[in-house]
Amino acid sequence: MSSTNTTPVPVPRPETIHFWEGCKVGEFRLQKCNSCGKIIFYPRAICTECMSQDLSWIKSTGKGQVYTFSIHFRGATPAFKTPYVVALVDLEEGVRVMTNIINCDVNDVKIGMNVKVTFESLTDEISLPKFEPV
Amino acid sequence: MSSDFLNKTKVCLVGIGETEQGKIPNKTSLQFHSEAAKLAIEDAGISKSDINGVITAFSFVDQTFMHCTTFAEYMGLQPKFAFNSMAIGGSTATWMIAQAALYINAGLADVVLCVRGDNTLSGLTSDGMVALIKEMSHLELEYPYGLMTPGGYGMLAQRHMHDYGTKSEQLAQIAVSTRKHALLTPNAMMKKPLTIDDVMNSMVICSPLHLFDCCLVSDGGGAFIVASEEKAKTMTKNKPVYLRGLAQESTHQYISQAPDIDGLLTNYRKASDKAFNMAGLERKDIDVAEIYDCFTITTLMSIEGVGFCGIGEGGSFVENGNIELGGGLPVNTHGGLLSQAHLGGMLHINEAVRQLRGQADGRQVPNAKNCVVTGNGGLFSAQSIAILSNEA
Repeated sequence: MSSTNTTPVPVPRPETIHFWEGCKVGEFRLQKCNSCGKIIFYPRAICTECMSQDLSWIKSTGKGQVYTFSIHFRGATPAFKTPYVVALVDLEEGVRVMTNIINCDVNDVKIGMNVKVTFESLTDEISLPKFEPV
Repeated sequence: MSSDFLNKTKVCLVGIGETEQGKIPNKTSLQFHSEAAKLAIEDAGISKSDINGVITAFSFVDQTFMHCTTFAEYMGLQPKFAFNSMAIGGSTATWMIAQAALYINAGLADVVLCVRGDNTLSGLTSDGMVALIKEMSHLELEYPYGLMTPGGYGMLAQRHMHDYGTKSEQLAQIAVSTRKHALLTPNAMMKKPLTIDDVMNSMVICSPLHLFDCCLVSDGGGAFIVASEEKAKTMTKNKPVYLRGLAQESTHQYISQAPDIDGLLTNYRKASDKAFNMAGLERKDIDVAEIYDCFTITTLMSIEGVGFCGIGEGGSFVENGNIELGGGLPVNTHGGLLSQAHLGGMLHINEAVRQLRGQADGRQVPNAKNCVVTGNGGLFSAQSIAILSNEA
């Protein structure tokens, strides 16, 4: 349970447990279909391409580029300190992820900017991946 | 795929109704439903007992297990041989017309009441608002980043500007043009004129969207009635409005899974082509468009998606009064979600019917024959298109 002082803490589910375990040890993990090779994110129980349920995990380089972003001047909950940047980042492996861009001025975020993953510890169990400029 | 569907059994809109829209405390969602439904029934000049189908949506305020039958019971509606509660976000209202047409074509009903109402402005608590925000994003992999709905659309706008050179001032023009129409609409919330400077100087909510790029929140109800042409011919109060074409499409649910803008809009175009083929009409035959406008970028991208202009050309399309009454394609002649009220697109359908009946006093598009209505749900996640005409 999160208090109003913390931003929402993800609760792992069967498809995502391995992903969150990776985050805790500094790894951004992606699923890979053993049947057709598709790289899949967000984690699911089934390949979005070929319907195979034979999926494995790979470790992403954690590097990518900003596809788009929006500087938020109103927070989703009182715990979010504005302004903050929500972005979609295209990882080298060819998947798109939502994140916050941190460790830079919000006005410095640009489409095409090179970023790399960093992990922010929320609880003993959960670290949340965020991205910062390279 | 070709479709004779709407020629086999022609389907008409025969009644519309809406309550006052605005800040109206102390009324429940079902109360708004019942008031709007009554007005639509009276507008159609029929009895409540003529209705044999009911389609509703949902309430943001009252969680209801089986919404359509709950409303039907509250209203005392009998008989019902067709009923459904649709929950595809903002694409619901437009798709209610399609669902009604399907029932009528199947011979399961011939007079279908479609209704929506809510006390979102007065009735939603801040916990309720947070619950809604949660629903727009993947609970584990998007929500923790604090995505707000205007932020999702802001990200689309940001990329559209990058890909096509669209300007904030062009988005602002949409807000300005839409506000002009609201000033001509008695049942519209916003009554002050708006300039481009007003929009550009208003607070940025989620970049690049300003306050006036964003839709209203309101209380109110709206309803419309769909009937077979055979039944419509027995209703002589108003001339019928025909459903000529329809389509829906979706490429994603959560914004991180959306295709690139070009792919997104190309798919929208394909759906729009289906609707126009069904109708036997071209884009240039459309006299007025009621476009779901939760944000100015939604209007712009929908104009491109429906195919009124090329992908990326929406910015210049909306300039120089082109989407205003008297312009090349009047859009949202009632003020839309941006300036009239937010009832999930129901009122766009009512306005379309008014325009095609020639009843849009003070804001009538001269000789309006054909109208496009769109719905949009989620974060540009699901589109619905209906082409209406006062010609069969």
